[in-house]
Amino acid sequence: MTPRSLSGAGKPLLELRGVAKHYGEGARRASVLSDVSLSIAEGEFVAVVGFSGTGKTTLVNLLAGLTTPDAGEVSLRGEPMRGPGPDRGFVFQSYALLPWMTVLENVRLAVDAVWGRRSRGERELRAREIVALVGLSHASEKRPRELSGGMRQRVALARALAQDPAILLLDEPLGALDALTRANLQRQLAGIALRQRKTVVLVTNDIDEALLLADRVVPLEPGASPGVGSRIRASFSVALPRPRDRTALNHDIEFRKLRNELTSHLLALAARRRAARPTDVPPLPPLEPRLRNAGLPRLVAR
Amino acid sequence: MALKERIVRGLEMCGLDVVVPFVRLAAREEPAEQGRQIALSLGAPAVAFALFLLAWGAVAARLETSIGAVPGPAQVVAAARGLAAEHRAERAREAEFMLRMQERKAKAIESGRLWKERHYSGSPTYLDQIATSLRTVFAGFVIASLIAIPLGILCGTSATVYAAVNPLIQLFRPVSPLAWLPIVMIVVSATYTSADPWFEKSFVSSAITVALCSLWPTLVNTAVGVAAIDKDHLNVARVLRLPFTTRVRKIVIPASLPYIFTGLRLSLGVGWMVLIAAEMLAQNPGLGKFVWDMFQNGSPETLARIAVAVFTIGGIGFALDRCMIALQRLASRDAAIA
Repeated sequence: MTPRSLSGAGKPLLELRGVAKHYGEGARRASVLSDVSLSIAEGEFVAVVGFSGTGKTTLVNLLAGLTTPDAGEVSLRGEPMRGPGPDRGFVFQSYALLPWMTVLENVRLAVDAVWGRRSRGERELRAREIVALVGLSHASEKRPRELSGGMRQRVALARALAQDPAILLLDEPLGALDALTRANLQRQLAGIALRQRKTVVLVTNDIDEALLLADRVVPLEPGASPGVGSRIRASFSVALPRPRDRTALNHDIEFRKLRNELTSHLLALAARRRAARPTDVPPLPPLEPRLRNAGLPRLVAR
Repeated sequence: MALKERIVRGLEMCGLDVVVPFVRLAAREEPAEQGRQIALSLGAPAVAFALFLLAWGAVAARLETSIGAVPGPAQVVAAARGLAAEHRAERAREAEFMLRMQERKAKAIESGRLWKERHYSGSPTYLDQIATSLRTVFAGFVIASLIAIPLGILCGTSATVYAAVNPLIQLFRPVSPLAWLPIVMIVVSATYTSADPWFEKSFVSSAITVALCSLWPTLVNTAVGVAAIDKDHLNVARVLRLPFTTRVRKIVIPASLPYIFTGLRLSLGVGWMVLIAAEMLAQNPGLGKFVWDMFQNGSPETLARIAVAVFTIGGIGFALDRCMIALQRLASRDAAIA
């Protein structure tokens, strides 16, 4: 599997064309994305990988409509994107659960927003179904602070699923979890994505996670020089059969080849970036104090 | 065991941390440690209070004024008893009057004469004055909250509104109630003209003055609280496209509740302090008027009775603050970031 054309198969559901984004102005201007193009087909599971600070969160915020690009275009079903909406479920990196609500109430918030016209009973039932789907029925009356990290993550996922979105946007959803919980949730996520046939964009810094879950892995490449933001130039298709088993994959030749390719690609990018910025560490000032009068004691610097 | 912990948590929630060591002592939990806690939280204040009483008694005996010696603690306690006795006597007179009126009414109806209802017109007792003061401060506090919380939410949501309103807040915040009151009184007597008013004019002016002086802490705290809401929580509302009212009800208010209650607590404290001055000037029945009346009549009991009022005002202010702390803790309970 070598890098291939940027567009996935089929008609694009979500598309970024030549998108650029920066924060700050003047001397503090920091370019995050320069000229990013990416198109995501209906039903596709795309993983965006990259080092921290490459603008992964900005990218997924753009796809959600939470931020607007400085240049370029974001389109949804061929139309220009107009703000966020319930058709795009978002799982925040911080989970963003509302601490004053129980698990069920957090999910109800999304159900009520989308099914406002249905009866109370129907909405209640729907919320309970979603909570059961992520295996949290036993904790539905608990508040987020009473839950473990993995359970909170599942509530966040449940809230996003409760919107019944066409597209699921996941911003490093498993980043803050321990390895065991993480593996467990990856399995659940794969199951839900497979059953519900949703279009998913997963942002992650874990290559194994990306290969385990995605149809296509897209590395977000940091800009070659400090003034240039990240861009997307390559795309790796993952044609491994589903359902994928983590343990079995570790012995799969195809998987290992892909992982090696992807890892060396990312490492090459990192090396190139280091080469472009040889003086990341500012030069230290001379340690010897400059003395105007030689008669002064040596320790008194000017 | 679980019961004990629940009691302890309940007490802490109500700001009654002082009682906690007694509960633990009753459960035989580290008696030595609890003893130390009790000595610290009750013993030390008791000693300080005793020293205060001694110093007060010693100084008071030496101070002679035009209306007699400054009262010591004993005279003040006697004055408090006197006020309580007056209250009971007044109530007894009222009951007697009502009974007499009922008899007369029965007789009048019996003999077919026209009967005109008459009200008892005794003077308000000290306890009546306290009740009036509490009613007034709550009325003012409710008015202040109804203005300050919505305005605070608006200021916190929009940086433009906050920038626009902030100079006005800074300008009016330090104004003394004594400056507001004349304006409020004149405006109230000009606009509040009803043949059968629900409230006394003096009550309305005092309440509005209290509101004008006490709304600022709530306004500023609400604005700060709303501005500090986690951006991701607001993004949840954006993703779900929640309508404005739902967003305020489900996200903005719960998220800023701890700040709002901090503001409300400060506001109630300011309001109570302002109230006494307002009542004094507006001649609204209440503790302020009581103090003023005592000052005017200059009897030998004057100073002792004013001292009773001082302790009452302090005690009620303290109690109100405790109540607000309890509410504040209750409001902050769920707001821990998760």
